[in-house]
Amino acid sequence: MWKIALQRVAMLILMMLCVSLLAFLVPMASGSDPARTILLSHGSDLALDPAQVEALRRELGLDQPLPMQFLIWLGNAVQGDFGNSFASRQPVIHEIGSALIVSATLALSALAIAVAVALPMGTLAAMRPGGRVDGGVTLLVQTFVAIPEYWLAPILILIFALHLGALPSSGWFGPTSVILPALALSIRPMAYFTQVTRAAMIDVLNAPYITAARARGLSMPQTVLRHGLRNGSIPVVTFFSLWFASLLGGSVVIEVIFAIPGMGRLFYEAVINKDIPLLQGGFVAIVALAITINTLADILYVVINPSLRGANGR
Amino acid sequence: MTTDHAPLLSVQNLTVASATGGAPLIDGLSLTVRRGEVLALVGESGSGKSLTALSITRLLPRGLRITGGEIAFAGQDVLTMSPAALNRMRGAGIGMLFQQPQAMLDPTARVRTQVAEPLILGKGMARRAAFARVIDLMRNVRIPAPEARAKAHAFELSGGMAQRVMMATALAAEPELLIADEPTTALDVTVQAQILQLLKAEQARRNFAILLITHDLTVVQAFADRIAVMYAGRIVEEGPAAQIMADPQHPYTRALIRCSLLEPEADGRLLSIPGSGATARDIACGCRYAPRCHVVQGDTHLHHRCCGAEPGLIGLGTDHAVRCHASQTQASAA
Amino acid sequence: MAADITLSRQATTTEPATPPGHGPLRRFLGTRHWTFAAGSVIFGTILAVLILGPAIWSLDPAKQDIIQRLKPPSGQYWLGTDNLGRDVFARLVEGGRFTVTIAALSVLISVVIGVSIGILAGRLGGWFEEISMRIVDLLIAIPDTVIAIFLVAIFGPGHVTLIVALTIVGWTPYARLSRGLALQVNAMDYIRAAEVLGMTRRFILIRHFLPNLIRPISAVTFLRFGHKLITVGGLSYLGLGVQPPAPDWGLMLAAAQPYLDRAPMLMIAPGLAIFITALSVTWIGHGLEIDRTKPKD
Repeated sequence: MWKIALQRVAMLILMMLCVSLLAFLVPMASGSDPARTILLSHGSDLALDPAQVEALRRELGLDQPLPMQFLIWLGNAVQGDFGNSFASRQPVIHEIGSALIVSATLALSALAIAVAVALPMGTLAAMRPGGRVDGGVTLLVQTFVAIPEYWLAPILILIFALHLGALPSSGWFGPTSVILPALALSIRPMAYFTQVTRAAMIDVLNAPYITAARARGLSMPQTVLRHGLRNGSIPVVTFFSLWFASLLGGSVVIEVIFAIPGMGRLFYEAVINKDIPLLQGGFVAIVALAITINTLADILYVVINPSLRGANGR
Repeated sequence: MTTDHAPLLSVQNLTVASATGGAPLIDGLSLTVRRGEVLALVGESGSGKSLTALSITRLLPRGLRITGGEIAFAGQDVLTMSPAALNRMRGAGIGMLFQQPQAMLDPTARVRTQVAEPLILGKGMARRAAFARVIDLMRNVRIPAPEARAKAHAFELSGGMAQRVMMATALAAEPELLIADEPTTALDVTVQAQILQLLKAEQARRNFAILLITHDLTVVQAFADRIAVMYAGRIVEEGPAAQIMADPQHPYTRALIRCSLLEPEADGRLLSIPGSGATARDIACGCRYAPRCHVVQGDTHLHHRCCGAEPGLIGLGTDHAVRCHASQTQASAA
Repeated sequence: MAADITLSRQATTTEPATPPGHGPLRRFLGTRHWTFAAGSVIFGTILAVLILGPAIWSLDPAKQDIIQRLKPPSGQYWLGTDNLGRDVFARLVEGGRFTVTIAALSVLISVVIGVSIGILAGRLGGWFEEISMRIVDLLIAIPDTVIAIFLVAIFGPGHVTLIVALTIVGWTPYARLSRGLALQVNAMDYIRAAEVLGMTRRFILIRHFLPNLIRPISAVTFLRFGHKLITVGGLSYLGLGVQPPAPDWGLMLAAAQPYLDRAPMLMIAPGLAIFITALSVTWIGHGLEIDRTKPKD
């Protein structure tokens, strides 16, 4: 067991190195000179003084050979130093930190909505596979998968913000501003969670211990609640973590539509503004989080499922 | 132990078939269990024993249906019972044991949660009181260190221990009938004996009835008051255990007994029944056992009769009945 | 008990399938779920409109008429006009050609690359398998949009970048699936039997390998196609894909944002187009996946 864990961590570090190298190479690939970009971003639209550019290049270590530059950059990155954002002139790591909290809140709200709908829906479908309810749920799942969230968002805004005036149409300032973006973001994970729950619950409801529970006098709803859901939600937990990782950095469009200062929008703006330190930092942070959460999900899967623990010998 | 009261469980002409049609899996099965007695239902796998147990508690898997007959438990019609009444019957009236005890326990729940369910959900006991009672129940079925085991998960239990837990659960609400479906088949031989002794002891102490489903006649001999032998979805012989073991009338029963006692034949070989266990679905002849019956083979007259029509279940004196042309001919000739 | 339940399962599967009509095609269609037919008809109609539409109705997506701006649907403008007085229906047809083509191209390239790598990994094994599958793991862990945006940051926006980006994030499921199928097929007796009979590898590959891959791969292809459409729209929405003034469903959605209240049709039409197209291909994929005569579970 320890050997596997070590292998996974080694793989994780190797992956991160590759990703860091990629991020490091961005400015070279995009053909821009960081020193020039920084000076330009500092607002001097006058002709750049070549001596000044050269001084900054030396200061940034850009006169060093490329592998050396990478090592310096990596050394700083490991300590959380990705430099300052061109646009805001704040340390990148601070910007990422505050954006992450926003995105995590948004992602968790969306996933909470998704699970709250998907668990009962998937369970209902699994009670009679091939039945009418199951057919309806499958149709609903397919519909949800096909809805673009950046279309659902304006529709929600149109209904709840513009017509009913019940909820704010954009911004990030408290619980009411979370609802619409979370709802728009929840639709796709909701569809996938429903599918996963359905498949898992069909297996679980055919399990012998369900018959045994019924045989000791539990009603069908009692059996599902006490013995079905817990076992059926084990795969959902894994999916939850995967989606959480993906929504942390991946909800770009929704964050842009609703003007939410999260990871996705930060990253998007870095691209638009050619803000290279922010772009590098954002990319490395999103990937690092995604990979770490995925690894944690694997561990969690073992923790939640006691019989697996038994199988691995404790 | 036999009492003259109305039967606790009465199954009449039970027929079970697939919802999609086809020949029935159980075909006109009748049996009765009296209060406090042990009835052993014996037969090969595929003969419909387990389906009988699941029919009685109305827990047939999806796709199977009871298509005919009557089932009455403690004077109530099981087939027309409301779902709520069925749940009450399952908890408090009938307890069940199954073949794979470990698979019968929820892998994510603690033992005590499951043992306490008939008490909390069925009898409305408070959680704390129920958990205290669970320890007693577990001690009753001789589980060592019940306090620790109560908090264990299914994967931490051995097969024998899991079956004891199942027994504690099944008996928690003091049922009048325990249906034990091959309770020892999946266990080690030494553990088998312990479980059976325990079952017997508990039965003697609390005087509930047992419907023991098994393929193993050695189990039956020491345990049952009466025996019903099932073949291909039907009862072929039924009677007091001692009488059937001593003087079996149906060729199938005789073969089963000889097989299970492992008595060598005259030529020193162990007996085996030719062919494989038939289900109610593949019937070639009038009598379902005829294709494998050694009595029929070599007797052209009998062969004609047995393959022509299925024999009825004919009484042979008090309580003993058999479904066989050959035995009935002998009986009437005697 | 186990034996009895197995028996009952068999009992439900022994029902004979009665395909209507004759021939492999009719039999294939006869066993499909209804969503397959519905999806095919809808998707076919959409393709027909996208391909033939401009010729039939002589639409001009670029013609501006500032007097006629933000008009509701009418006989002249079936879906109304946008903020520059352009015909929304004309732009929808023109834009769909971009969106659907980009999604289709990236899916096709993804399939070719993914299936090749997957089969090679499954057949060759060794370090090739190890490295390619680790790359798949890595790419699957990172959100699609993030990779796509990152690439756009490097190469600049435009439809070529879009296709490249979508392919880089898109080949992984096919690689995983076809590697799994390749391993399965490897283990099958008849492949070994064919090898023993002295057939060449290429013959085995063409005769036995590919037929086994085609159905699951095509099911996944349609299911992923819907997803790709939505991603293409999303990236265009962000201004990272097709560049204006060329119309694209995602761009149209983005442009409609300021006029949400005054002209909701401007927003509803392109979104509905993406939705219906995505739904129809999802249905086709679902229909390919499920055989109606086999019990669902």
